[in-house]
Amino acid sequence: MITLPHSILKKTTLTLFTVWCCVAVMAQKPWLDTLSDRAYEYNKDGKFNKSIAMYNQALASDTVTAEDRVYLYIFKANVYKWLVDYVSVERNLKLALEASDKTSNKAKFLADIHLNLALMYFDIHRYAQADSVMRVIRKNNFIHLSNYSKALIYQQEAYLLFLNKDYNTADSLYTEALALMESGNHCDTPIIYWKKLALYLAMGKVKQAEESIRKGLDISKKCGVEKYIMYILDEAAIHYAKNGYYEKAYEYSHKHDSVKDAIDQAAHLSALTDLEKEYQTEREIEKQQLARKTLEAQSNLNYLISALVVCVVFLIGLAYSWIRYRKSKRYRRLKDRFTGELLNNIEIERKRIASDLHDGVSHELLAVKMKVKEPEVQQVVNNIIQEIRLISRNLHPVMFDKLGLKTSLEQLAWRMQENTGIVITTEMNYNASTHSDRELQLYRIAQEALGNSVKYSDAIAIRVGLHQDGENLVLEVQDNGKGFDIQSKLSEGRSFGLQSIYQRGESLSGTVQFKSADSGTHLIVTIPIK
Amino acid sequence: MISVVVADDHPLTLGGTVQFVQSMGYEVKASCSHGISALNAIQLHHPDVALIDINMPGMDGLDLLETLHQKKSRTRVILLTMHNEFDIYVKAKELGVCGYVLKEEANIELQPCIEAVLRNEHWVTSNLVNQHTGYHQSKTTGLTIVENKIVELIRDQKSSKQIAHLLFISEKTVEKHRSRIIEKLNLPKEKNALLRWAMQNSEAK
Repeated sequence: MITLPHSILKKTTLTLFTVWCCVAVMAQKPWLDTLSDRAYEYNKDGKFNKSIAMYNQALASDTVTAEDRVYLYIFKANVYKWLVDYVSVERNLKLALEASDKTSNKAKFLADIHLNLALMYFDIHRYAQADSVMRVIRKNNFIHLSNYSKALIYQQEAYLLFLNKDYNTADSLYTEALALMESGNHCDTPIIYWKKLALYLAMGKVKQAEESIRKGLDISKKCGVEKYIMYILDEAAIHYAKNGYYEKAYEYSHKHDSVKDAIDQAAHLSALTDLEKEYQTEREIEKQQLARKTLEAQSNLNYLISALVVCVVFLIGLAYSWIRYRKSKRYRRLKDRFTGELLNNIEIERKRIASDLHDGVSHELLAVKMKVKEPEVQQVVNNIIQEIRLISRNLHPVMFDKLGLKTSLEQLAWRMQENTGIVITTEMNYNASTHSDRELQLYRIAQEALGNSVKYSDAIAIRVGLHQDGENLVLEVQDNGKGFDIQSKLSEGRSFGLQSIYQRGESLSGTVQFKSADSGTHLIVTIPIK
Repeated sequence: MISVVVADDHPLTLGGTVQFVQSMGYEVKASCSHGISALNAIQLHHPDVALIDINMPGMDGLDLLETLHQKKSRTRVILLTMHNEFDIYVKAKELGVCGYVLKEEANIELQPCIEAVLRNEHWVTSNLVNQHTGYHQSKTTGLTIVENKIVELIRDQKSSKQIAHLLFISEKTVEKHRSRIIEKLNLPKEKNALLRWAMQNSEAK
C-alpha cells in the first residue's frame, strides 16, 4: 500500500483540470460545445447541480446519437470531478465506454476514455487500476492520443516507477514525457520538473535536482504561471527536507513563502483593484442611471408642465369665452327685453294720446257743435272731429284688440290708399291669432314699411300680405318702386324707421328680411305664432 | 211708455243724450257712465232700448252687446259712438246690434234710429267709412282710386296682364274693375271705348 503526501494529491487534482479540458474540447457538434460552455459557466459559479441536470436532460432526449452520449457522459464525469465525487466520475466514464461501443469511432473514444480513466485512478491513488488501464493504452500503442496525453501518461507511469524506487527507469520515462511535451517548452512541463526534482533528490542527485528546479522555474516564469512557481518551490522545500537537506529546504521554504506572499499580495491587490474597479463601474452605472432618471423625470416634468399649461390655457380660454358668451347673451336678452318694453310703452303712450284725443277732445267738440246753430260752424267742427279721428287712428289703430291684426291691416292699407292715391292691395290669409301685443308690433312694422314705400319709392302699387306658414306668421310689404340700398341707409344713422322694423322683429323673436332692387322693395317678416 | 237706458262715460254727452231721449217722450230708466253698471241696469230694468257708447271703462260697448246677445236679452241695443269705421259696425252687427249712430250726427240721426229700432227694423248711419265700397271718389267721375289708377295705366297702353302685375292684383280683378269703370262712365260697349276715353280725359285727371 502506497501512501502519498497530501500536497501531491492536491496538486495532481489541480493539474488534471487542465487535462480534462483538453480532452473535452475534442471534435464535437456545436450544440455540445454550447452545452459544455454553459456547464463551465455554471461550474465556475458552483452551480454543479444545474450542469448535471442539464446534461441529464440532454441524455434523456430521443434525438441524441451514441456519439453525443459519449460526450455527454464524459462532460458529466468532468462535473463530478469538480465535486470530487470519483465514484460518479468512474460510473459516467464507464457509461461513456458503453456508449462508445455503438459508435463508428469506437477506437478513438476508447483511447480518450481510457486516458481519462487512467488519470482518474491516479488521482484517487488506485494505482493498480491505473496501471492496468495504462497497460491497455500502451498495448494499443497510444493510438488516437496526442503527444501531450502520452506525456501525461508517461509522467504518471514514471511516478509509479518512482514510488516503486525504480529511479533510473522513472528518470528516463520523465525525460521521454518532457520530450513529448512539445520539446520541453510547453507551459505544463513544470509538472514534470517538480516530479523529477523529487526523483533526483531521492536519488541524491542534488545538482540535477537544482537543474530541474531552475528549468521548471524558468518555464513557469516565461509562461507566467505563478501557481507552478509556488508548487516547484514548495515541492523543493518538502523533498529537500525529506532527504535531509534542511538548509536547502529552509531556503526554498523561505523562497516559497516570499513568492506566496508576493502572489497573495498581488492577488489581494488585484482583488482590491477589481473591487475598486467594480465599485467604480457600479458607481458609474448608478450615476448614469441617476442622470438618465433625472433626465427622464425632468422631461416627464416638462411634458407634465406643458400639458398642464396647455390645459390651463385651454380652460381659461373656455371659461373666458363662456363668460363672454353668457355676458353677450345676457346683454342681448336685456337689450331685447328693453326694446320690447320700450316698444310696449310707446304703444301704451300712443294709445293713451289717441284715446284722449278721440274720446276727450272729440267729445268737447261735440258739445261745442251742440251749442252752435250755424250749419257752417257745425261743418267746421265736424271737419275738426274727422281730423282728430285721423290723427288718433294714425297714433293707434282703432279697437285693435277687438278687430284683430287682419282687419286693422286692411283698414291701414285702405286709409293710406285714400290719403296717398297709391294703390295698396291686401292679401290676407290668416285666421288664427297670436297675442295682441305681438300683433300690434307686426302692425307697426307694416305701418312703417308702408309709410316708407309711400314716401320714398315712387311705387304705383303696394301689396300687403299676411299668411300663416306652419308655426310662423309671415308679413309681407312689397312695392314696385325704385328700391334703395338698405345697408347704406342703415349705416346713415337717420334711419330710425328702418331700424325700428329690425328692432321690432327681434323683440318678436322673428326674422326680418329686406330685398330691394330697381324693380322694388320686398320686406318679409317672419315671427313665431306661439 | 218706452223705457230707455243710456250709457256713456262722457258726462256732457251722457247728459245731452238723456235730455234728448226724454224730450222725445221716452222714459230714461237709468243713465250710466260705466260698462258694468250699464249691464246691471239693463238686466234690472229690461228697457225697450239701450243707447250705449262703445268706449267705456269697465266694459266696452261691444262686450256689453255680446253679453246681452248671449243672454238673449230682448232690449234693443243702439250703439252711439265716435267710431265711423265700417269694420266696427260689422263686428257690432255680428253681436246683434239693432242701430248704429255716430255721435256727431246724433242730433239728426238718433230719433229716426230709435223709431226704426222700435219697429224692429235695423238702422245704421250713412256716414260709415267703407273701404269696401270706396270713400274717396272722384267728384267728377265717381271713380275710386284703384279705378282711376287703372284708367291711367290703360292710357299708358298697358295690357290687363301688365296692369295686374303692376297693381299686385289678378287679371280677373283688373277685368272686373274695367267693366265697373265702363259702367260708371256710361261708355258704349265697343272695343277700345275705355282707352279712347282715357286718352281724351288725360288732362282732366
